[in-house]
Amino acid sequence: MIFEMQPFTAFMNVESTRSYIDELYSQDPNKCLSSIICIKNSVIGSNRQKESVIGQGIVPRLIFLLKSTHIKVAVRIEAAVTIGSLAKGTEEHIELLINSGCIEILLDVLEENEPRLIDACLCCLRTLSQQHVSSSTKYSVTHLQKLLSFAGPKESLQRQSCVANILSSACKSAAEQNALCSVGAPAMFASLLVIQNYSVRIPVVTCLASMCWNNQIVASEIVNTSCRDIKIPSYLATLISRDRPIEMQLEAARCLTNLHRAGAIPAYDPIITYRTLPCLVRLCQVEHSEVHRALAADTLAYLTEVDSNLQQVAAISNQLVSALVDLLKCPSAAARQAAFRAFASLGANDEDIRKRIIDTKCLMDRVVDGLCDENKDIRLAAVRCLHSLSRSVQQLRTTFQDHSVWRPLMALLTDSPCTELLTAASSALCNLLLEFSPAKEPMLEQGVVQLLATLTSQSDPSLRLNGVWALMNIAFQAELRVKSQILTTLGTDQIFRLLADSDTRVLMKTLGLLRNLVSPRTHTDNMMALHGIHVMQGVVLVLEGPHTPEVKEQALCILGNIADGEKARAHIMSNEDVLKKLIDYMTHPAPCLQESSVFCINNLTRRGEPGAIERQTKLKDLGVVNILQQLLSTSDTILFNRVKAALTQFADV
Amino acid sequence: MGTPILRPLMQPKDKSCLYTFSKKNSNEHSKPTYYCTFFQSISQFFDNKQKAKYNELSRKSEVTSREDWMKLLEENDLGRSNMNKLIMNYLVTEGFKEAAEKFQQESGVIPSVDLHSLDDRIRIRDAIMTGRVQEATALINQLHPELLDNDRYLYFHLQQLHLIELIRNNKIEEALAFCTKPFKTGTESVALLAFEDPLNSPFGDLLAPSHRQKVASEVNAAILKMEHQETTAPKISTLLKLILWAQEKLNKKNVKYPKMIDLATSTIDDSK
Repeated sequence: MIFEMQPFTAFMNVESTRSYIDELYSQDPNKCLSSIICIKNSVIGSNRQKESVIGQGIVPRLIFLLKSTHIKVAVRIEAAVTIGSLAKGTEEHIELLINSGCIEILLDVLEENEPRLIDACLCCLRTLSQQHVSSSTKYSVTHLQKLLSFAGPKESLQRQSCVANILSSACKSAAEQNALCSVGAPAMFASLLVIQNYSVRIPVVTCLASMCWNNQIVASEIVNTSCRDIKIPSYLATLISRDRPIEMQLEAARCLTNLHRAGAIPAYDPIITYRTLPCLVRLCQVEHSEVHRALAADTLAYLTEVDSNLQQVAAISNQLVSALVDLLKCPSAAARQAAFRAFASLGANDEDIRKRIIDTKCLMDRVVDGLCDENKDIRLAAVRCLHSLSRSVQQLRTTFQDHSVWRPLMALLTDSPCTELLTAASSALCNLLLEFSPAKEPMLEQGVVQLLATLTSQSDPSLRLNGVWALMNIAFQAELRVKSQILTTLGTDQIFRLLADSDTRVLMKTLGLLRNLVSPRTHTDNMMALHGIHVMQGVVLVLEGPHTPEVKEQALCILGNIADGEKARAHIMSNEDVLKKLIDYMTHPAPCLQESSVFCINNLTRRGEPGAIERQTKLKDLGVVNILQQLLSTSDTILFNRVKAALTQFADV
Repeated sequence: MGTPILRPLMQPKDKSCLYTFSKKNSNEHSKPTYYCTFFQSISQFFDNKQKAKYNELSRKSEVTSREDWMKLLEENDLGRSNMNKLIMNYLVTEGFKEAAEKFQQESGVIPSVDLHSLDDRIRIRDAIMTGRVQEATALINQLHPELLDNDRYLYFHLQQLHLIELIRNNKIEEALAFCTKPFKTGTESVALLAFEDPLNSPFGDLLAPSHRQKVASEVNAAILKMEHQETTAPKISTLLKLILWAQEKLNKKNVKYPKMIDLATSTIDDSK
């Protein structure tokens, strides 16, 4: 393979190779070749040397040599190899190469028919694709097909490995994933999984994992692809075994995880519950290297993020929690982030698991430290973890209080962080503001209402949602002064904007907030005396809007609460328009609207209260009694009971 | 641990020894060579039928007697072809092409790779062993251009060896010029420059031929890895390590067993 070398020239530093660099521009192909070999030998292995020759501006010349079809092949191969070596330098070097259009030229050269040149280009493309520098390279379908053709079963292991590596980086977006799938990548990769060589299998599995991430169509295509009558998941299940190299196990587990999360393999499938999950739990243990543990924990977090059964199965392992706590002590950001994520997933639903996590020594300290970490990704992961743990009533009243968790959390929110962090932090805040949470009072003192009011005017709907949600939680059974504070801070205009919000979830929580503001009965009159007009306007706005019955039901419930207040109910009784709407909803096709309107009528006409007779008479004149009597024939028991209760109120008139 | 025992026997200058070794192997009566017996003993543990028999034996007496053990080994013949494959694997992995060719003629074992592909590795090894480090580096770059960029540690070792060769050849000026090159060459090797007689200095071992051998092996293993060989060490050295490991485990637990006391001759202790 190695051809005879010319009389060997010693490696020199750049100063002494200057003449060689000059010859790079020579028209004599032999001089050019020996120059480029000399440059190659000087740059391989040394970033200083790379820096130096790049500084002398040789990159454009190398690219020119590479793409010139009339130049002798040996020169072009050495040019590709030298560019490939430069691509293994620093991030600046790589950026320069990418900005010089290297990737496109390399892809073009692949169309030629020179095997050794193609090998060199594929290696170079692999190096460039593995860099973190964000490249905006879009591979066309023709490129994808060409690349895939170099991964065929008769191609060399090196080519197959290169192609899998390159394509892994070429499927970040759904469009790219679909494109790769449509040119037959799953079938090709299935045939490569048979090859008994990990330098091919590992990148192939990595590429499959990238292809199916969050992509249901591609994922189901992959699980249904087979080679020699064995489906891809079955290959993956064997590659996950203990006797395989750790990288292989990890990538196979990650691929199965992505297939599951994309909806192609159900959570109860033994391949997920009894193979993938235990493999990841095992790889989180302290005996493995930090890099592997971090990746395993991160994958485990993703695997168990939503399914509570998987969370419980994972938590069976006694060592898992302590292994993850140990990971929190690791120096790398990736490790700590992964551990926080895993805790967030494990504690998402089950109170026992949550308790076990929080009871682990020093864990809460670590979380609080994480909230103040310099690295924003760690802060985010810590906040998500806190959010998950804050779902526990008991913990809110104990550990959270002991650690004054609310302080760093409030600090985070006032620090004008990015939307992602703001969303996570305000989600946690919602839980800390529940009425039984001891953190509620000190947070009110620190001006949390103003903070939340600002959130409700953010452009991101999830931030508006969290803002209103948290205010709703504060308003529940709050003192009058707090309720007034909410209304004045938020302002009428903002409430109307929220009631007209394009996001139904925001609208629902705003109605919930209003409902909490006008209840319980003891507060209704007070609140309505101060803000009655606006509240009534808001309710009418919603009742007249094009909303679903679930939304309008909330509005009717507010009316029900208002109807409960001795003085407040005048706001309804004096409003012919509202009364008419109320009566119309009694015969609405949606049972929930019928139930809540009848409930409201019942509150308005309650016997023995001042002015009851007048109200009953007025409503009877409006035909309410007739409607109620007709409603007696309903098969809906809830409605029937309510109708019956309302009719008894009318006994006097 | 296994390798130092193997190396003296298999080094290129002892090629003659290699051939007699393989001939010996073709002789039916001199069968028990060390790897042979060991291979049998490993397969022992995976053969269920034999395992049952073994259990029977262990029930009879707590300690498996040497006789029983030898009998088990005899009964479990793995065949010469497996032995030959192991030898071929060793020769090919370590890059002994001539020996491999001869062995192929004598034993008929087909090597797992084309023997011509060994040429490059042999040339690189020879260049390192004769002190032509920069030539070796250029050859490596030609054969596997990505290798020394991926493995900067190996690159460093080659640079360091080059410096040592310059010092060995008394090219002090060149050595000093090389040291000022913008990379680290390691304090130990630079320290050699300070001594009038570097060979007898505290860092003299860097000048010993074994250091060249070490770097050459490192390069050899790295190339094999680049060439997608699953293992870069000969299978036989792994087997030897396994014997030593297993015996150590047994020793720690104070178990009495037929111990192999000399790996080179596969002598089993018969003191009991």
